[in-house]
Amino acid sequence: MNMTAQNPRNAGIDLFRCVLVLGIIFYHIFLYDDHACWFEPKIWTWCVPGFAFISGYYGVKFKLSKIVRLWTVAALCAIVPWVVLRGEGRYLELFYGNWYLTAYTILILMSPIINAGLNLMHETKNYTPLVGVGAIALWAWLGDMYFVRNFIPHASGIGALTFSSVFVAYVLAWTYREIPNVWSCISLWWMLPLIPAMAVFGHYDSPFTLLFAVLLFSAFKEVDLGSRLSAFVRRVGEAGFAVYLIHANPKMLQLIDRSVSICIDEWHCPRFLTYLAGALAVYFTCVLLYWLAVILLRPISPFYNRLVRMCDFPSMEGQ
Amino acid sequence: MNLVRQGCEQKFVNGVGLGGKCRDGAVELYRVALMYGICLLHTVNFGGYQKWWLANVLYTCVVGFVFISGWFGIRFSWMKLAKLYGIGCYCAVISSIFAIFRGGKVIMSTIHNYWFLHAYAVLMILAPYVNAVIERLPVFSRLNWREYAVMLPLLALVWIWGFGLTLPHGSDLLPRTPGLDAYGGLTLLGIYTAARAIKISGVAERVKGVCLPVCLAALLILTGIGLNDYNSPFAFALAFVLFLMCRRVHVPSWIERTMLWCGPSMFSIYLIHNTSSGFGLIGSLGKYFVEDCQMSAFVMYPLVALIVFCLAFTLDIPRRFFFYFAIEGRMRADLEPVRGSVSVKK
Repeated sequence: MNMTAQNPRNAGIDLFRCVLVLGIIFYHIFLYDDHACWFEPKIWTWCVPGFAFISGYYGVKFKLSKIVRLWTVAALCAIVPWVVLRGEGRYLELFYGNWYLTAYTILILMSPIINAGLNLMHETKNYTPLVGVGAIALWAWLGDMYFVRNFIPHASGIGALTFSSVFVAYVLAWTYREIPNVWSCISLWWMLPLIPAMAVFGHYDSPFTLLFAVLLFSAFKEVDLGSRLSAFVRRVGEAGFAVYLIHANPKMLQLIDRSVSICIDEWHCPRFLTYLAGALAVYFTCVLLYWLAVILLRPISPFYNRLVRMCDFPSMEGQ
Repeated sequence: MNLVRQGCEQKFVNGVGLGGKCRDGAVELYRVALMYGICLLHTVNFGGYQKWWLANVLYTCVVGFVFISGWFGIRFSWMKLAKLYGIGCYCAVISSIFAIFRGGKVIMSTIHNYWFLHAYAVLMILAPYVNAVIERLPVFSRLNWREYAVMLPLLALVWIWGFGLTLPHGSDLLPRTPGLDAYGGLTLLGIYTAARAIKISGVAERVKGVCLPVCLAALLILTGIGLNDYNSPFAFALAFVLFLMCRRVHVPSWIERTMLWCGPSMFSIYLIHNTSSGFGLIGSLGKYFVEDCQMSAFVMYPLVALIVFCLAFTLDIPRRFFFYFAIEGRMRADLEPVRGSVSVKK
């Protein structure tokens, strides 16, 4: 079976993507806010592997144009924090500073090799190399864990904020798609013990976090939305990566944290309400900015698309 | 020797016999030379009186090691991984015992500092994915060059993005991310992939005439001026050219036997001396020879490197005795009836 065979668009997965982005905003608010408890950010860590999981479910196919498009969006998104911060900090740092963007680019670049390996595994029904991926996942998780990390050798590129966590989620999604029997035993009830486990051991590369993302994904996959709602969710979902890139910037996060602190400390707003309103405000502001950029750039988009398509090398899949 | 080499060629063509036990004397000679080169590199870097050009060129030795792995291929097995870390633990213990006398660090931090060991473990885990692609490629020709393009993104990742970051102002132009530095598993994976592809494509057999010496001279200049890191394409090309030259050397049988005997210790020699206490010893010896014995730095380097090489080799002998006679001997006896015929062993 071809790894990159495109699954039909699923409205439930689009909705899941929107939830993931909102979850990431919550995670960042909790992470930087002094009022938040130590476990509050950790229970939102499943959102980032969730993104990589969706990529793995649909399959990533190498195209140079895809990388160019990705980095064009990143370059445009970096303008927002640069303008908001009135030129504070270097533009290139705002542009390059996102670990997920680079990790995802590495995944695209490695996808011909990874996909061919996974396809061969599926053809021969020899899944032994998957154990190696499990070893990388365990290595990364233990290597990031407090105290235990003193006894785990550190390897460059093995950790939560690196390519390895995206790679593990990608391969996990492949097993979900191609070996469904393995996942047939899971149930949504598993989420109950996973929440406290995440509160203690939550990180992007934690097995609890990954499992939680898989469970939520399988739940959302079955959601059926009406045609109108599906179209709206798809539009909002398309802006997901841009929302992530705009707000997940150290300078922007400081700004968000300052605003939340003012609401709680000076205006005495209820904490829960402040977090919810703050996350929604950030989310929809970024979505509106994305839509605005799409409208403004519409006149040059045919020229841009033609230019980008010229980058494409003949397909490298199906070797 | 020819018989040995023919046997190897037959075993390894298109990945058949991947990870077999067949060893080539000329390749072992190359491996020993590379390890001596690494000792020399560390002597130049830590022995004082640094000669930058020499150090730059010697970076190729580490790349050469991974090139050999790529040439013969890696087949993942937990036993190999355990053995790799077994060697690492032994070398860490030896270095730590040595460090006690020099006020160095303890075992765990020594293992933490073995970057090559961990990167190689990552390479072993990811190698089956690369093998799945490369082993299916046909012998290279003008008609099928597009099939080889499958590995271009990975090579671009390592040799353009990764290497670009090591160049001056590279980190201003390219995004930095953990794992793409020269000391990571991805770098070794890139070298492995390229070496494996060269082996499968049959390109190496077509290189003839004065091409090799000319390439060697050009690459020595390019790596010498600083385009030399582990993820440098020039360092890879130099390792490849040296490998080809080494394979074409006619090695007398007594040297071949000696190299075959020394070969299995090379990784241990690297790990034993590649610690803070090892570098401290190199620094002390360098200072002693240059300041107390009034020796030239160019004479001191090879001498200190040879002392370090021989000392580390001697310290590895007990491990080899234990591994090869106690553990591997028993393992081979257990596996013999299952495997049937055993690979060529000298």
